[in-house]
Amino acid sequence: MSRSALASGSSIRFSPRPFAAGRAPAPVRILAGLVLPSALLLLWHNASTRGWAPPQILPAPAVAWSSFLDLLASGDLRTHVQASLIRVLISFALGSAAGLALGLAMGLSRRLDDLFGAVFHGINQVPTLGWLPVLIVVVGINDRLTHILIAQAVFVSVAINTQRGIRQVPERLVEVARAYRLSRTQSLRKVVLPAAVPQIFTGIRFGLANGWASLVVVELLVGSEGLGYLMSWGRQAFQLDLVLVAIVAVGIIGWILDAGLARLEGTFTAWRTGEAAA
Amino acid sequence: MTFPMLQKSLHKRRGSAGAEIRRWLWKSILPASILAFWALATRFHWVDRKIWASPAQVWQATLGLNRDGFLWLALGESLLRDLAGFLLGAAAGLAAGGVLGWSPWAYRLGAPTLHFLKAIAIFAWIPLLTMVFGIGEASKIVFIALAAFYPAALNTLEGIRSVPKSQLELARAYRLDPWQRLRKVILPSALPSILTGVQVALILTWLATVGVEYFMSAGPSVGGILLNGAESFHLEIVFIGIILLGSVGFALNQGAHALGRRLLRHRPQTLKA
Amino acid sequence: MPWAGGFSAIDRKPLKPEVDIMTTKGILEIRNLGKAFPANGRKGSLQALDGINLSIRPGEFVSIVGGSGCGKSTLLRLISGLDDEFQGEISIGGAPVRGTSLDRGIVFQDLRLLPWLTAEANIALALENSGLSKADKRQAVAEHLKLVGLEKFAQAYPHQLSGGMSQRVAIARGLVNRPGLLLLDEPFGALDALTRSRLQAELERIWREEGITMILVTHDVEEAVFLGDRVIVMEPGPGRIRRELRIPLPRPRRRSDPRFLEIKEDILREFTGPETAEAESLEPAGRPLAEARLDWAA
Repeated sequence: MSRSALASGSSIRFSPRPFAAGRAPAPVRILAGLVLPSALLLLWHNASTRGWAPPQILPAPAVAWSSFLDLLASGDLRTHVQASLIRVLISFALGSAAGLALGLAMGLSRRLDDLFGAVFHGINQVPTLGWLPVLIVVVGINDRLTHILIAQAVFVSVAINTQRGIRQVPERLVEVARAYRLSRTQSLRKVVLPAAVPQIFTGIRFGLANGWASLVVVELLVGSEGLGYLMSWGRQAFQLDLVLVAIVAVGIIGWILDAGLARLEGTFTAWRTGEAAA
Repeated sequence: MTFPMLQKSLHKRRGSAGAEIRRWLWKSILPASILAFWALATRFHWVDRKIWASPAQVWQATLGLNRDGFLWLALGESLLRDLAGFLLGAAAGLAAGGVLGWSPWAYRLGAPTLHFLKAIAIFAWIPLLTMVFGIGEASKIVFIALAAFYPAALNTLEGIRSVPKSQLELARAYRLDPWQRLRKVILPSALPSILTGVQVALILTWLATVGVEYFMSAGPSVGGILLNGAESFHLEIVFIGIILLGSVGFALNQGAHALGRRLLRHRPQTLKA
Repeated sequence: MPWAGGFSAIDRKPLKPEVDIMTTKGILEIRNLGKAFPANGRKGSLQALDGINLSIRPGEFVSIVGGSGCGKSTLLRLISGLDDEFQGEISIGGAPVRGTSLDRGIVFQDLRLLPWLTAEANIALALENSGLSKADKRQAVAEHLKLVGLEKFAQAYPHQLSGGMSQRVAIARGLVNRPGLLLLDEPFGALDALTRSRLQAELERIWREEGITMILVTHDVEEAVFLGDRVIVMEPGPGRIRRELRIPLPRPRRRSDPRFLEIKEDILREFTGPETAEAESLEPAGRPLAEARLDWAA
């Protein structure tokens, strides 16, 4: 699947502050934001207490809450979260390092771009999901599969965006480097890389989001630990409360990971402040 | 290592015919050597022949699989499913995004929840969906629709909210009524973003279609081919599935972009990015 | 290449003009210069410049004025060495110009400050390969910030500076290498009239203090007359020199001086004919700053 369109990140916007809404004061914004979740909760509560759905299918919110507390107290939740996080972070580190290297090479050198381009874009046409069955056959169902798969998801997105970021450095700024006779290293350090940083970060953030999503997919199928496993186990045991706890955990952790990267990006691109407004 | 960025390149220089051929040869080195290595490795048993099929075997398997037009059937099933989910999800997403973008209050109420739900990897919904809707067609289509919903909703929302203030002021200065404002100012201004959302939705739904077929076995379908190949340890079947998956994705992407370009053909390049 | 990177730090002490006599004090000679751009999608090419002959003495201030499309900015790019593909000859002190040089500073029309560097760091960028010691670099930057009156904004990022302040940073960056020749491409085009005339006066002061050669490209006839020892009037299709005139007025010049006005009218007539000579500007003011920023954001 053409991840190329997706990996560009142009489509799904990462706003620096995803929850910033309008100019209403913060307490109003937070309260307003909580209205819809509360309404849903109330609906859910009513649905289960009035028996609109059988309890095996829809447990009461209180049941889900107590399952959450149980999972928390027993340390099970921690084990699963930890397992998932470690997997994703290892793979993320590998994938983004490799992606950065290839992206830089392909961005800076037309020859290397030509050399790797065809294979890279071919690989890029196949989504993570396509690699899953291949890896199952080739490496088997184990942790190595998880790492390779997630690293691949991160790798593609980082490589594409790094390459693009470098290619899109405005000619007019490159000319400044030429006018002052900067060497390659100097231009790279002072002009090309800083100009490419926002796009590179888009790739990294998109890569992590991709990696996190792929992790869940893999864990649904593979392994005996992790949030995906918790979900699939909850489904097989017909315990929707476990599934819900896992879903919410996936959401919260995914959000925290992205917010962390957004913050890191902010420190790298402090010079952009106010630029968006201009 | 060359450094094209820093060479003067105000206008692209045309290479000679010889240079073009050399460049083309250079480009094909890696794909050709991978193919050659694959052929040799399977020929001389450098790899486990129980797992790795040779190029010829992949070709034969393709013909074998398609004896009764099976591949076309599978492709058709998947595309139909994709289309149903896409229409459902994109329509819902456009509507939701429109409301949230239009009304500041709807935005305050709905956007945080939407952003949170977006953060949940869509495949995480599969267990829940199968519990609620079973593993039949309904559950698959709802899942595919979900994949289309977020990008359609979020891009519509962003597109409408980022209509420049100056343009809205212009509309006020000329006393356009809300309907005129929507038609003459907001929609045209938000269109590029909305189209992007629809394009992404189209691509994501294809991914979701194959994924959901893979997770909830679905008879003849692209996901089904992948699943069968993996379960029976027939890598050549998996490759066929991957090629289908990749080429449909590629075609959808190209089609969506061509459509977008056509719809935005009167706009300066920057708006399409 | 005129500049070979061999200066010692001693003879490049800031604010001492007697530097590098050999190359910077040579005469800039432009002979039979032509430049053609490949026309987009069509056969043949677009002749941007044709048969330009010009010689500029060291220390001279030359204004080049003309409407859009007359090739005045292209001419400047060729002199700077950013564009090497041309017919004819450009030489300084007898040595042909090839490639860029730290001895020829340039101030771009759209400024081109790097948005991720502070004012100070943007100026220091020009000194990367100056061969100066760290301390000398710091001193040179500080002195040039002072020269343009921005000591207090050393740490500000470009987006925090006003148009006029950004312009001063760009000028300081062009000057900090103490080039023998400074090329200015419509440097004040995007500024309001008040800031513009203040910066013009400042530029003149800097020119007098530093004794360097300056070539200013502008569409503003008044600016050209106010600053230039000589004004070169260019015309389009293909870009060539229409007229050259010496401005014999003493400095600092007064814009209300009848002789000043007379020269200005005289030049404007070249473009418009006598009846519309009131139109001061030959083309709409340069690209607004916001647009230049958008470029970057996109």
